[in-house]
Amino acid sequence: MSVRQANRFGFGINQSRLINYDTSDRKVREYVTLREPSFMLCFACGGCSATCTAGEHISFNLRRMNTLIRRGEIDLLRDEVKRCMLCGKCMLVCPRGVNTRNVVAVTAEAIRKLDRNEL
Amino acid sequence: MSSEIFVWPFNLGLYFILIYSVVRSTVWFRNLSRPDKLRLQRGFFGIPFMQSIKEIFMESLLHRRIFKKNFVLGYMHMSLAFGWFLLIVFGTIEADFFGEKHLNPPSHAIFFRAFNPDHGAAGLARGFTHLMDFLLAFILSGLLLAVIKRFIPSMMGMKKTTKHTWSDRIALLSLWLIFPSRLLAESFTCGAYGSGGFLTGNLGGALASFLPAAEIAPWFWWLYSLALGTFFFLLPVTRYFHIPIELLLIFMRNSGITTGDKSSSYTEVQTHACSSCGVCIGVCQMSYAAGINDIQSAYFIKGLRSDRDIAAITANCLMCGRCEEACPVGIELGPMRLIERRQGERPDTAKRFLERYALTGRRSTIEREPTQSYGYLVREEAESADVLFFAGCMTHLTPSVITAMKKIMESAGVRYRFMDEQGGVCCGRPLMLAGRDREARELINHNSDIIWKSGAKILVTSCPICYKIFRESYYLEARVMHH
Amino acid sequence: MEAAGSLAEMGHRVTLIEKGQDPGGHLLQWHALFPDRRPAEEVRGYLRKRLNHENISVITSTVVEKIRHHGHDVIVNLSGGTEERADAVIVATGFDLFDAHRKEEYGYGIYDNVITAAELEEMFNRGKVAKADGTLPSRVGFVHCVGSRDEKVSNNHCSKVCCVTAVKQAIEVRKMLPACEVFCFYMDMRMYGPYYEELYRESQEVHNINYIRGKVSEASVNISNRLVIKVEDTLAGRPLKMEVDLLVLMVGMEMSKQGAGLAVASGLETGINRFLETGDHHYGNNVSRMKGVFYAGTCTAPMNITDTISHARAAVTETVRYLNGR
Repeated sequence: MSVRQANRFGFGINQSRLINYDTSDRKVREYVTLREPSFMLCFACGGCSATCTAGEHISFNLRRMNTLIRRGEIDLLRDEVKRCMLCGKCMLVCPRGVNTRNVVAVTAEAIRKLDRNEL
Repeated sequence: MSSEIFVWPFNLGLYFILIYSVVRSTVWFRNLSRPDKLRLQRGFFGIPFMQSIKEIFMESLLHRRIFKKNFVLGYMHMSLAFGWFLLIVFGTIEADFFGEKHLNPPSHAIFFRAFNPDHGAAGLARGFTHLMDFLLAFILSGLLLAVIKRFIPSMMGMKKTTKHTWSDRIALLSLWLIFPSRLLAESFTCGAYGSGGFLTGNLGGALASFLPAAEIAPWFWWLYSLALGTFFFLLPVTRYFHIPIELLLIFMRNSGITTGDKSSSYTEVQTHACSSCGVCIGVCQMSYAAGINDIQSAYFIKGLRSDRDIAAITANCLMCGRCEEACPVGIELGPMRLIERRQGERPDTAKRFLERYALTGRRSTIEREPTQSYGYLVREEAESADVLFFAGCMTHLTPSVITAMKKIMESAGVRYRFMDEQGGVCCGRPLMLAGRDREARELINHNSDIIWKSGAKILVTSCPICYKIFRESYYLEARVMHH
Repeated sequence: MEAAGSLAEMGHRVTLIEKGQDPGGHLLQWHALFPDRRPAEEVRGYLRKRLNHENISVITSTVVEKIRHHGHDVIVNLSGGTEERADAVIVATGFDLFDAHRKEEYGYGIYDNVITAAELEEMFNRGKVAKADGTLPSRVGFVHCVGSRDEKVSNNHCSKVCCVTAVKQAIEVRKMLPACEVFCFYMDMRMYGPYYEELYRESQEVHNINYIRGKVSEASVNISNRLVIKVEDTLAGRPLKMEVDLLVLMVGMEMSKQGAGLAVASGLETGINRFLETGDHHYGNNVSRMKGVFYAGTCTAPMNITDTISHARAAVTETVRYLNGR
């Protein structure tokens, strides 16, 4: 019996904290990459998160979002993606020229579509 | 009469387009909001009516705005529009005046020479014949320019011409065939009968000298009729629909109807009034500065008309407004793009198909849920000040401006506060430009609260983006000034 | 200088044309060199000795404006209007440091106490590291990748040596000012050369230098006029801000201005990174497309001093092969 099956029976076995890359959900990553190809250029320098307007007020971390999308950890993103003010400061700082603002917009769209099973 | 069958492609096409235009305009009228309906009704009387007539004459026929841009381009458009108009008007007068009856069906005017091949020998009739020839030559000169423009747009001051769809191309071809085929039809007929004006008569005579003119003429009359009929049938799905619809647009605009924030009949009318002239492509900054040539307003509107996925086109616009300023038809391109940015996804295909071809009058959308939410913002305790300096997101990356402003304020000795020194909240304009007005309102409320509570009399901005939204969308007692 | 020395020893006559007052380029400004922090003066001394040969003549305060091939010879146009004829030419125009004013968000030229790595090295030469008002700093921050790996200033390339320079300078600051905290804000730690990685280890183990992984997005001043930098501590996953007394910008290498002008005037190919494009990246790294014209040093790509000297020797080999083969 798998861990998931066990959980359904009410057994409190902790899910592994491991990111299993092979079983990770590819759909959001592929959607974002298709709609905003510059997304793949990110090398996680953190300049965007450093300068982020929303990041001053609450946990909104664009670099971490990018990483999580690539690893398929969508559940952690659902609320966070809504916090962006779309101000565009991150784009001015990015040394790789990633269109960070569009990445947020497209990610939000991808998550909406995922929840409606349209991806 | 068997010789009259050839007029039927023309007749069918003409009746089709007239009925279609009226039906569709009626649908649009009925879908207007009540205030707009009243406006339009009033717009058919009094001064607005005269304004509309004047505008139709100056712009739709003479294309004055295009003349201002480039003389040759204006001449080309004018000769086709005004020339054709005069040809129809004088042709109708000719048919009614010289024909057997007065008030003939349109085909009698259009095919006058076919039915009256030896007309125009002397006197007033001859004058008319020369006049009709002159008008035809006038149109043909413009047609020549149009052909040249397709291949060498720079000759007419156009950096780029619009890329065509297949229906555009067929319509263009039929349009280009209309007048040469009329020329040849009339010439052959005149050649066979020894009649005609300075153009058709001479050309006809030359052709008849080595060709069987009387046998050939009917073929060209058929071609003329088919070209006209095809053109009229294709009108609603091509850029040439602007010919009737621009008239409706002018009346609507002069009645005081504006685009507003939501999709409506007026946006539909504007969509169909676009002639795809391509002027917007040349003036677009993305075109001449970045070589990007597929997202301009002409393509945006084309995409709206044919219901394509224009998400990428809609988003890729700087909203600078140059295209709107340059548009000879006066379409409100900026507001239309914003409307598209605001709307959510489109509903399923069957309904959309009906919308494309007229029948529901308004582009339907699913209301978009708010994508962003800012409940996490905490209302701070506002300190009072006389002057507030709002640097804005971008200015933090150009600290020389901040240092300078601080120095100025300190030297001036005013009681000032650097409102977003610790980062602050975005003014909200980028959100608005992305079509997220409701979300922007949350940010606007947050900032407005701080500004009101501070009691400041003046708000100083150092970013033009912030300046615009503080002036236009915030309700502040303080006076907003740019640094 | 190295190339001139080698060629002279082999019996060739060499003219060295130098744009400044003394040959040596940026090496003249450095205090101590990585990885072992040996005095730069030792290397300068070595190179001057190499230049001290009867076959070598040196022309200073002159810029080479154009090079062209003419029959068997190469003709070189100098500022001042004269020409020199040669059998072969080695271009060694070196590099320029990135102008830190261009990254306005770091406040160079706007705030006191934002300086470049070269200016810090100058402070080492003078024997004192101090703030603009003369007091000693209690916290120094080093910002890596200023003007390199940055699309916003059109420099996508990595300047290679700034990471190890930052580590070296960090150690030197700690040695000079034991009470001073030192932080390095990096995107990567590029310790590519021999003993570089060991230097990095030493900096952490022995000298207590702190490393924070994140690209500094902006610098500002707070109410007590102390510099405040904003960065994301990517390893902790949260934005971070801190006050520093002195901010050192590790400015990268760019193609030298005079070298770029020479390339344009002479039709020498430059790459997308604006450095000179060599004949082949693997086995033709010193040759150009123009016959008789060879390249040595950082005019082709960022490199450290060791590699520059080796590159110069390779250029000599190519030059001699060419001269013998004619």
